[in-house]
Amino acid sequence: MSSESVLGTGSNATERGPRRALGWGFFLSELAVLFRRRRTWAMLAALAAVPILIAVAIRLTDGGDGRGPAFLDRITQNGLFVGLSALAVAIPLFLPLTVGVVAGDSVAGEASTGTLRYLLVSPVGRIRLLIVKFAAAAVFCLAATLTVTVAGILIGLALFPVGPVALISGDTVSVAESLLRSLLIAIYVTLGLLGLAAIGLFISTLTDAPVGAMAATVVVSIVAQVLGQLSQTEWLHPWLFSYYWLDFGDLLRQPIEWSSFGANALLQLAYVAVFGALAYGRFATKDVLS
Amino acid sequence: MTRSWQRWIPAVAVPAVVAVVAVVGGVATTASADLPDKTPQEVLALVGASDVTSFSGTLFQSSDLGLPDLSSISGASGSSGSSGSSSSSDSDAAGTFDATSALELLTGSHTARVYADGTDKLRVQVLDQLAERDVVLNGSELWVYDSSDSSAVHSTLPAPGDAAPGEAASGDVPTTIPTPDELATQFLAAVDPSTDVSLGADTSVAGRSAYDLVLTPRTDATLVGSVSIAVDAETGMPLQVEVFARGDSSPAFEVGFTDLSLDAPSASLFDFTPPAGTDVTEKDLSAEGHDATDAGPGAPASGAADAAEPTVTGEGWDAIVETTISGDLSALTSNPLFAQVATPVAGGSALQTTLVSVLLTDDGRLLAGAVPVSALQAAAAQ
Amino acid sequence: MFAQKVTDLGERASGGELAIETRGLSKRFGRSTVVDGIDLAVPRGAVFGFLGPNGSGKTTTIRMLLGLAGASAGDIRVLGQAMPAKLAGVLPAVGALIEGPGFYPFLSGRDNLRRLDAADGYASRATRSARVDRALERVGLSSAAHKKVRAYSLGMKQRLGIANALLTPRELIVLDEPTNGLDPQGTREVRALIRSLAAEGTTVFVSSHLLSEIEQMCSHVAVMRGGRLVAQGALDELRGAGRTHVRVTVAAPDAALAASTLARLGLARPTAAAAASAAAAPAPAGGALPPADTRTTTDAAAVLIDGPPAPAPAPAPAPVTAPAPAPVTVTAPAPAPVTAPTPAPVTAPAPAPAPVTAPTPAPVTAPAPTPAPVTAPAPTPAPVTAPAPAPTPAPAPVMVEPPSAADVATATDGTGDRVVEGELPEAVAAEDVVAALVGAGVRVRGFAVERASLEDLFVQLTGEGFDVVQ
Repeated sequence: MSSESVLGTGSNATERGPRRALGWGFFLSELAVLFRRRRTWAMLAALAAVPILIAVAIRLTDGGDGRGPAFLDRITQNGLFVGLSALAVAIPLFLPLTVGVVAGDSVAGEASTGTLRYLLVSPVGRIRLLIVKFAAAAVFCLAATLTVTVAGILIGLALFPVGPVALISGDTVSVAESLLRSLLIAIYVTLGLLGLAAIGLFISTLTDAPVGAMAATVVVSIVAQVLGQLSQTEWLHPWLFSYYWLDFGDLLRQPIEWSSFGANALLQLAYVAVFGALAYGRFATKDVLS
Repeated sequence: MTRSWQRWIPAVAVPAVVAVVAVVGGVATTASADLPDKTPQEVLALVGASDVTSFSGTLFQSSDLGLPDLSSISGASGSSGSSGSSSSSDSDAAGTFDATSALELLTGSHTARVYADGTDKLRVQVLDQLAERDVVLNGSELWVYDSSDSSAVHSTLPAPGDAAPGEAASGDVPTTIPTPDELATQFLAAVDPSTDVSLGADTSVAGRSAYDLVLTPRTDATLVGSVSIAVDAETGMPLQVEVFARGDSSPAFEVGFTDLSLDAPSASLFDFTPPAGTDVTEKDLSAEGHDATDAGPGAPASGAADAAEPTVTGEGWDAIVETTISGDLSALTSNPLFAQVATPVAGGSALQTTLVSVLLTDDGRLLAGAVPVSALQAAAAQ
Repeated sequence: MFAQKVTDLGERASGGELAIETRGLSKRFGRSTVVDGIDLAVPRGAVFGFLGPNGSGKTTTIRMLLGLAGASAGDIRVLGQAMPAKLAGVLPAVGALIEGPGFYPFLSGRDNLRRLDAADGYASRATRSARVDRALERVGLSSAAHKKVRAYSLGMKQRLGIANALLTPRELIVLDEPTNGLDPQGTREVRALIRSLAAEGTTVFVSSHLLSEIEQMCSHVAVMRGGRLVAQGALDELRGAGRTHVRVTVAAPDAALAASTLARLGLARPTAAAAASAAAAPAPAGGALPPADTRTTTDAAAVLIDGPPAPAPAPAPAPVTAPAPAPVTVTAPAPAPVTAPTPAPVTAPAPAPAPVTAPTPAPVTAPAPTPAPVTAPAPTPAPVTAPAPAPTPAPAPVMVEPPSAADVATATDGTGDRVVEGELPEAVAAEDVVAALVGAGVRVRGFAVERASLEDLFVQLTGEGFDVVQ
């Protein structure tokens, strides 16, 4: 019996169109839910506070003290560095924290509010739900990174002089190109967070307690970075999803060093594939009892 | 239900595919090519006839000398912009590339990009995380730039274009990473009756087919097992140098191209102007320029910048370099780096790696060579 | 036998007779079996009550029906399709409220519905707003549509959950405990809603632990107990399966005659009790009916032949939408036995509750004691009500107490009268019993008929701890 006969005829015809293959409607709905939460905006505001705090602190103390990334010192000379410095500061902890919250909450949060069963009965399709959840988490990664970058650029414009930007190769590029590179870096960092988002999605399918999934995801990101610091685990380093996180500096070289961009993308793709498959394995036939 | 195991198929298959892709990808880059047969002498001649002057490529260098990882320490001292080693007279900006940098070269791995255009244009970029050290040669203009402390050294070379292409230029330039070209030149210069030259299986480096020239010391007295030089079949350009310790199957030191293009790089790359706010030092290289060079390719010359005129005993692979440390010895021995790498032995402190040994005697003599520490001790006792 | 049954079910499923059909459906969590081999058969167009105490496996069964949980064993067909396999095709035609509402507290009621509608890949975006508003209106939430769900009461959330089930025209609506958290008014509205849905031809599957819920709304019912299906069938059939207890007070010498007369009429397994206690029993039961409007049957009612007739409450067949606080006790002249499992006319009020008392001792001759087995588990006809043989120790569905050899019990009371009791077969009218007794020359001092209620039946089916009223 085909599905058409199940759908019935007559009055249903006006209510049910042909199934939209891509399901953009649900994706948009997912984004709407994500970005209508106060929590999401609180996290983005906290991320925006990072460059603002850095800029204000440097403005008040009249210059950096040499700690942190070297080009932090250059903020006083060029406000466009605020965004980059803030990214370097936010990458190890703040960005993984927010991504962990969003990704860890993705399925477990729906389970805990009881909406998961209604979504599945709608029916949303389990694989489609996973894909949409991951896509929404990816959009959040981009939003978070752009928030840091844009807030940094804006506060830099407000507090510091702005001019042509010196790259770490020593070459100088125009403001327009530096903005383009900032955008590229935001994309790079976003890509770098996708692996963590996939891990969070997988963890989120393991439990009905969103807080646990969020915490576990954040812990995973911290553990990965600690392992990345230990020389004893050097063989493991290139396989850690955090391996390329701070290599966004390669986009500040002249010419741009694309190899880390490509390697980062490949690594994250592998993480997304592996943990996406794990999440599918876990979620495809999971008993939804919440 | 009975089908529940099927849902795990992707979870098993995907990591398998990822692993296969990773392994196959690694194999593909090292897949050996089938090249016309040549004798070692023909390959040596090929290297000699090499005339590549314009290229851009990425160099990867890694050392596995059995030393502890010093990157954190050297990185810290590097970013503070001061030499960790001593009361050096090299207190100028070139101090960035002093013994600490040389030690850094002996541990871990580095990536550098090299751009060369003709005989007088060269740019080497040592890529650090969120930082970069640049050497830019444009005609007679030489810039050394370090982004970690926004410092730059500017020099004007006395006789531009005088030296041979590439090797001479880079030989004059203080970099922390030797190019395969430089290194191969040094090793090939050492080819003499003490060395057996043979050809290994054809190989592939940076996507290019290459002959594998293998130099094997005929003596047992050296720590060096063999040196493998990958020679580009097309141009004769050395693409990779691997130094194997005796009895070791993986290279103790290697440097090679991971990416190479023979196209001329953009001219703007050599047009260097330090950014505003850079601490620029003017330096005349004509007199003391070679001083800093010693710390570069010569791996055994750790700390040589501080040494007086060295004397060499022996010849070939088991030669021993001896020199006397001028100045305050305690400044060196109190260095945390020194404490970390050196072990006390009879008559002084020794640094033992898989390829070279260094002995600092209590009376201030420094002996080094690609020989065991015991050979150095014997030499010191003479 | 079983194989025959399987093909039988399969053929009918393709004909689309059954909205839900399960065979040997089981669910185990570790070592505990939560649902144990149940064979549900929900006819299309029925209002199907799924009754059972909390923890009897109702919700787990519903989760399996909707593909939320995988079955450990057994097959499911919903709307004629194999369920876990054809889930994407089936579920758009199914609306559901599962174990309470689940909504995003930070979204308004309307936005929550829009979200769930967007999740349905088949739902048209163009008509979304209209459909959401219509669903909200249908459950009476239009005025609160813009409020955040955080501010909703449990009852409002429950209504919103029902509205979600109504977003698109459905062929099947599954409502798990739909009246949880609702006040009496809300409960009545939900009941009315379900009836109107059924009137539109939608199959409604309602689970509840409240008998009164089921009894008022449903045409069919299944009873769960400890993960097993202990009864299933049309509600009228089940109701008919209830025992009718006849208690006759006779002059002591006539007791044996009365007993044999009753036995001849087919009154099964009679019991005897003292007349005093028997006479005392009806008073509180008949005189003090629980005020709850959810009660539709009296536990017992008795009319003494010699005494004045019990005051009969006005028959109030509660209109669908109107509140009916009056006890819906209906007195009828005869306990007209149900002869066919007619699916209840869904627009009509609930089927008339079982008549309780027959105070008319019409002196007619006793009809032949032919206990027509209308309520017997018919082996061939009406397979709808005859589930496949389940490996359950429960009595055969519908017929709870099979008649056994007549054995009328008698008892002596203190006054010299005797009480003779027995279970009235379905085919025998109470007045026939009286007529037979009179015809046999028995001096009848009192005659009472106690109709066993559905409550009694379900308490018996489901064991202790069964909630009868809210």
